[in-house]
Amino acid sequence: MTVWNSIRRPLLALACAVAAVASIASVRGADNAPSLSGVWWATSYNPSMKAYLVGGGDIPLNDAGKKKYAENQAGLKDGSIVDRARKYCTPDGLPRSLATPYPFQIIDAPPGQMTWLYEQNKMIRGIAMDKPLDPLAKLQILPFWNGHSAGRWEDDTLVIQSGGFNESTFADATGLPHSDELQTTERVRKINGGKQLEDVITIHDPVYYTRDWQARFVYDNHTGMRLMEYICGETHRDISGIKGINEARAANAARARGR
Amino acid sequence: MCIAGMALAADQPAPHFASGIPDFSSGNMGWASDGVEFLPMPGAKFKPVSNDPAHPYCGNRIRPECGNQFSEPVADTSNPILQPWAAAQMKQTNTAILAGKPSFEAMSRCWPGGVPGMMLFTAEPAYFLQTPQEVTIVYTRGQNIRHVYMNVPHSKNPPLTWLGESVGHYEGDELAIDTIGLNDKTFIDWYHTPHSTKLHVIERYRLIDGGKKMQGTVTVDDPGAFTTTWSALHYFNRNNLPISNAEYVCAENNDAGTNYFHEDYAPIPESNAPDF
Repeated sequence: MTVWNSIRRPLLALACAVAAVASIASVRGADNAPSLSGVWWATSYNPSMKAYLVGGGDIPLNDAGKKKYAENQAGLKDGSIVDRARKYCTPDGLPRSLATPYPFQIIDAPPGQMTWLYEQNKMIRGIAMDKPLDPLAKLQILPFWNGHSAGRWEDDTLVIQSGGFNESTFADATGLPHSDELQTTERVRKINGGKQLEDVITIHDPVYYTRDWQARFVYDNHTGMRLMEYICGETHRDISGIKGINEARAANAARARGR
Repeated sequence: MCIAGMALAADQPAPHFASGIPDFSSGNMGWASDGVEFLPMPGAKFKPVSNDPAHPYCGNRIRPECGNQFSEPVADTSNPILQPWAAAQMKQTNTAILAGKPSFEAMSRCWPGGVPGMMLFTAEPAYFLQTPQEVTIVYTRGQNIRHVYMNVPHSKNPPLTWLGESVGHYEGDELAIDTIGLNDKTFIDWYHTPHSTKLHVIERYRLIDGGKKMQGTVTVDDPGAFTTTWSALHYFNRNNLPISNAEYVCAENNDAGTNYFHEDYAPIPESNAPDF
């Protein structure tokens, strides 16, 4: 067998493997903390954060928030404001990222960190574990689309605090605003015997809201499913089975026709 | 026949997990490419494409041989690994570059750089997230993510994608990654070496110098573009930026209308209509 032919076999590498299946048992250290690792996927989607609001009612916008929201909505409607997250596939920011209708993966690595990988828009959230989040003023020096995050465990709940967001994202697909003073706290845990993941996020943004408010997201466990490439403008995974997607797409099309 | 791992540097003990598997995350840090070219394997008959001797390539490094300024990659198209069509295509690219046209790489405009091309993007670190089921390689540049599924075979007919389908396993101190299913929209290297969809790449990574550096070897097999199988070396340096501090959104300032990134040459990925 020639070298040429030998390496053409995709399975060759496996055949050559020296039993290297020893587990990386202590990637997260020996803390025995519960793991949220796996692939998670929402079963429904709504463009408005109001649909996810804990306790119902209205989102508590202050006067500045109402004014900014109206400007955003009008701009998105007439096309004078670009939703960069949908046109250029830049990150959605928080809390909008949590409403993604595409799957995402939580990985307990690298050591000392947790990494959330979103299929949609190739978003990455690196979460520094067991260290406090830097003060907001420091985070704002280099703001990120999805903010800077630090996490810790409280029993079986992962608590993620984030801050240092840029102002290039909306809080939801309808143009709900946030400022660079946005700070969030997420409490993430498995529910339903591990079949689902719950993420309750608290929004603190005194620039645009009268008080803190919470939104709740639930995802099904799809561990074993592989994330796919997501290139802006190319064909993506079929998500037409996600409740609310077809309605959202129809609304977007109607808005485009109305311009 | 196995592709033997090659000991090419005097090693010191490198970081390992308790299970003995090499720790490529080496304490929450990434790896930055050392240079922008593949290096020839010592003693190898066939070598990766390099620069035309008449046109030294220095990339972003200022060197006297490049006139103390940035240089453009002009390929040596006489390299015997190239099939005639590949050499002819590269000659056209050389001509365009020498005429002053920008040396376009898809990655410069926010498209994935392909495999093995992603190895050569220098400035932003790559992170290796190791779990028993998967090694996830996060290339900060463009936030490109490779999922390397461990100890499983390839799919029967994987779809053609920018980063392909990768499976991997450990062999002693090496991580071996086998990739197929690559589309033909990317280049092998900065010399615009093309490839076909028959491309099959085997990468091997190992820590050297006590974990201060990482060595990557790449073996490229593509009967659609090359006359033979060839291999090359590449090195990576530690980059201590933790992944939680690494966000690189390529499209952030890449549509500024200044033509600095040659917007007239190729558009960045964008969607004509919202996905949802």
